[in-house]
Amino acid sequence: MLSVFKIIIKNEWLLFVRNRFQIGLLVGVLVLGIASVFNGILLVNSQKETIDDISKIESKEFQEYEEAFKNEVTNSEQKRRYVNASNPAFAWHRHTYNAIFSIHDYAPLSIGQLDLNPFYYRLTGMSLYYQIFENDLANPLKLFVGNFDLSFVIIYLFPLLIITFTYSLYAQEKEQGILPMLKLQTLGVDRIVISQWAFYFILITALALGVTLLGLLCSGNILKADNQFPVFIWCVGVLMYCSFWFGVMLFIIGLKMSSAFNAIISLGIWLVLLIVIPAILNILVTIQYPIDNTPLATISRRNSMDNENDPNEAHQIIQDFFTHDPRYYRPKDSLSNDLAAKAYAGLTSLQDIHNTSHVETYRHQVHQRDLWTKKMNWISPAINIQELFNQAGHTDVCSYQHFQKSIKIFHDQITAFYFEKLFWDKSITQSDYKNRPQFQLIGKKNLGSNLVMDLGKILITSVLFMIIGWLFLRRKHT
Amino acid sequence: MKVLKLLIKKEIKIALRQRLIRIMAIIIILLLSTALWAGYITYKQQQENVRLAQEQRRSEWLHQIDKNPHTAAHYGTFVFKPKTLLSLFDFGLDTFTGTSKYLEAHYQHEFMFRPAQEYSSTIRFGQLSAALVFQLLIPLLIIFLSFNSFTSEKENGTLRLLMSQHVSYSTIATGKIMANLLILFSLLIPFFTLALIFSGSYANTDVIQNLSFRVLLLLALYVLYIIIFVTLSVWVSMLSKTSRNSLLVLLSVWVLFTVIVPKASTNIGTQTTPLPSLKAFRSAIADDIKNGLDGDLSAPERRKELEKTYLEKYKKDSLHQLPLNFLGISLQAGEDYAGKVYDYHWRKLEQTIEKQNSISSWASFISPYIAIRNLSMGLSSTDVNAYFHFHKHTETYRRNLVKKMNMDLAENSRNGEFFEYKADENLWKTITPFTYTTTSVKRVITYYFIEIIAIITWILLLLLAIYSYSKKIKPIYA
Repeated sequence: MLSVFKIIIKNEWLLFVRNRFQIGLLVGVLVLGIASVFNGILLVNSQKETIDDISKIESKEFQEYEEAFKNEVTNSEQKRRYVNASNPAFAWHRHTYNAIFSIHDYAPLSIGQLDLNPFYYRLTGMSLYYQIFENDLANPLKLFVGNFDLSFVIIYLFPLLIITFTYSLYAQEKEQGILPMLKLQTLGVDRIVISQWAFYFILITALALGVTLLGLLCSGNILKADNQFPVFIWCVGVLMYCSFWFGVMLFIIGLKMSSAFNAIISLGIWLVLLIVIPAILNILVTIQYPIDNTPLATISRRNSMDNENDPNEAHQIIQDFFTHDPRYYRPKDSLSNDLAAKAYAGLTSLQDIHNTSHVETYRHQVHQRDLWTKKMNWISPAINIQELFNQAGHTDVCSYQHFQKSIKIFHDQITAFYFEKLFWDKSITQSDYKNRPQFQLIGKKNLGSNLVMDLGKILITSVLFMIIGWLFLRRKHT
Repeated sequence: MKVLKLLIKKEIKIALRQRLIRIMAIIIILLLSTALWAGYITYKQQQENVRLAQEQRRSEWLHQIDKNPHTAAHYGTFVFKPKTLLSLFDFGLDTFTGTSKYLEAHYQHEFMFRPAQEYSSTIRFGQLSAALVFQLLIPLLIIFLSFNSFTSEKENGTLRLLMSQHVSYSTIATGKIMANLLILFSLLIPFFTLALIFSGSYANTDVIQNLSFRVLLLLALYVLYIIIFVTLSVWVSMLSKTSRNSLLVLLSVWVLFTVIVPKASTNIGTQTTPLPSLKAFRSAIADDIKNGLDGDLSAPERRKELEKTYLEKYKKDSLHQLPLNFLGISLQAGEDYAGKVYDYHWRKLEQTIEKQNSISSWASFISPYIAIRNLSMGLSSTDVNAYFHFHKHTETYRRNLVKKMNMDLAENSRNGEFFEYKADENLWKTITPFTYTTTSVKRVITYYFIEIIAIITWILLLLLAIYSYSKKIKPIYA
């Protein structure tokens, strides 16, 4: 029995190597796969360059502040520098801190939302919401068309490759009149077809895994602790996704229709899973969870005092601020130094305090949409696997929301660092800079059971299609 | 002529007998209806949100308390990108361009809130719109209708029979093309007739110019698209030996046209001509404002020059003797110069994006889908040029607002005064409400010259190919 299988596989191999069209297709997809890896790396590298650039600016600026303490103040320029470095009345709104989204090693393989959302912010102690809603420059057409990354090649092109290689199995034998001869074989037509199918399964899945491995190796160290689970997700995800499409094709082959019918139906399924269902889900989620961001726009307004020189207005703002945030409370008569600066600090903080609930509501709405879409992703393995790849590379909506939450905490740390000194009339000292706020991405997601469950969904569908396909193939010949 | 009519009748009968075609047509009509229904809901929601938000911002502006005009210029206002009626047909890039913008003195803020940021990763698969149905699904229907138009005649031996009846090959081809066109136009024409009636009732209320004319142009555009796919499919069927080959070639072409070429060309464009980051863009502007653009004077020199000009103009020795507040003049001069620098850098940015997108435009000669997609977005005012146009319009509005405020400060207060001078509602009222009308159709056409030439070339080449192949095949005479 085994030798017969060997003969079938050998025969398929000979047919494959003689078929220039099929080899051309495989080489073409391989080239596109490699190109997609490097395209993703190039895009992420340009973002990393910007990150390096702004990190250098921040280091340089704070180095200058620290150096201002070392130099003796002999001229107006040195005095200006010293004041900038030591006086919290200036520093709270002039010192700029970077909040940078940590780009995962495997983000280039599935760019996800990375090019859609800002990946860094330059923050001062001024109103947070004045600083975080603007978008970075982008070509809208590029955002619309999407990225040519490895996830695109795996999700869109490999199913087409699988369809092209397998749609005519069985049907071709029938159309070329070989079927009656095959039926004479002791092995059974179903087993012959399954062997051919298995040959292409191994060939194409190996190619997909090969390109994936290349991508994983080029984008990061696969042995790094942070990368091990994403590597697992990518490899198993690619295997499951290819299995799903091979399962679908076995099911279609099992229907024993003409090759033209198989081609039309399989492309139809591709179209439904990759274009129609996601397009419908996007429109349904828009109607189901409408989001109106127009009220949010106004909270990014730069508010100012009506009269900076009016002490009554300043005191009123500061008292209001103390009511909401008593950490910095000082009696009215001890606020006279830098009164306008204190009032402005209070004003922008009050603006944030009043608007936090609006922002939270907006983010909750976005989260609701994300949850709903995740619930529906079982309908299309394409959506499911895209989400998995994005989560593995931390380029999904959830990762971005964690970034946003971290920014809020970081901004609170920045204001606390300066406001304590500003309201208590303390100067910033050189040693304070050692404890200056540093951005940290908090609450990093735990990639785990959810992702494995999503993979499980694809596995179940794949196995189901394979079993039904196998039964269909067997049914009419036993 | 009679033969042609008979041929057309026969082809239509055969097509309507095919279950797959009937099912596909029903699916397309259902998807089209869903897309329009969802598009209409989104359009109404967005239109209402924008109208309300714009009214509220207007009211805020008018009812702000009495304050210094320059402070009012910083208080500024917000503008919201209105949806065009045709965006319910073609969403275009609306999901990927920001929806609101803060207008204030000194700063040109970027757009905030790209709707795509409010979705999960699924948004990158695309949204269901009528344009998506026309651009992606109708070509598939055409392929299923026409892939065997000649091959089935060859396989059944009816082609020789037809030709022996003194029917020329070109007449058969014309018959097949005409029949398929009639079937497809029966889907297309009622849809656009309804759209035309509908657009007539909105002609005066929508922000889009020449609404009915645009609908007619869209109809013409999609008629041409259908002609391209029908002639291409019939031509491939003419050349193919079997229906299977014809189908395989056409489906590969569809994938190439609609998936691979658009994605690859846009990504090549953005990689070869990268955009600067917002930080780099802003730094370049700040540097040029400070140091002067291309040999202009630096900021302190410009200020000195301005002082000199005003002192000479009013024949005075010091700024305090001027009959106006020099601060207002100086702020406005700074604003004017910043505007000049911003325009220079913005134009460079536009040119970069245009260069990036030109690769995609030229790719229209490889994929007619790109030409149709771009023109369809252009006519619906949801393309990148509509985004640029809106941006320019908002910037003009911002400059007028700031200029009025600065000049009021200059003309109605004395040098050295700032918080002492307060303007009131009478000044706020002089700022007209923000209104927006899209660019003209004539302008849209000039943007898409390459795409128009590509469409004409495709049609001419395909007709020529069919004609020259038909001429080679001589009728069989008894």
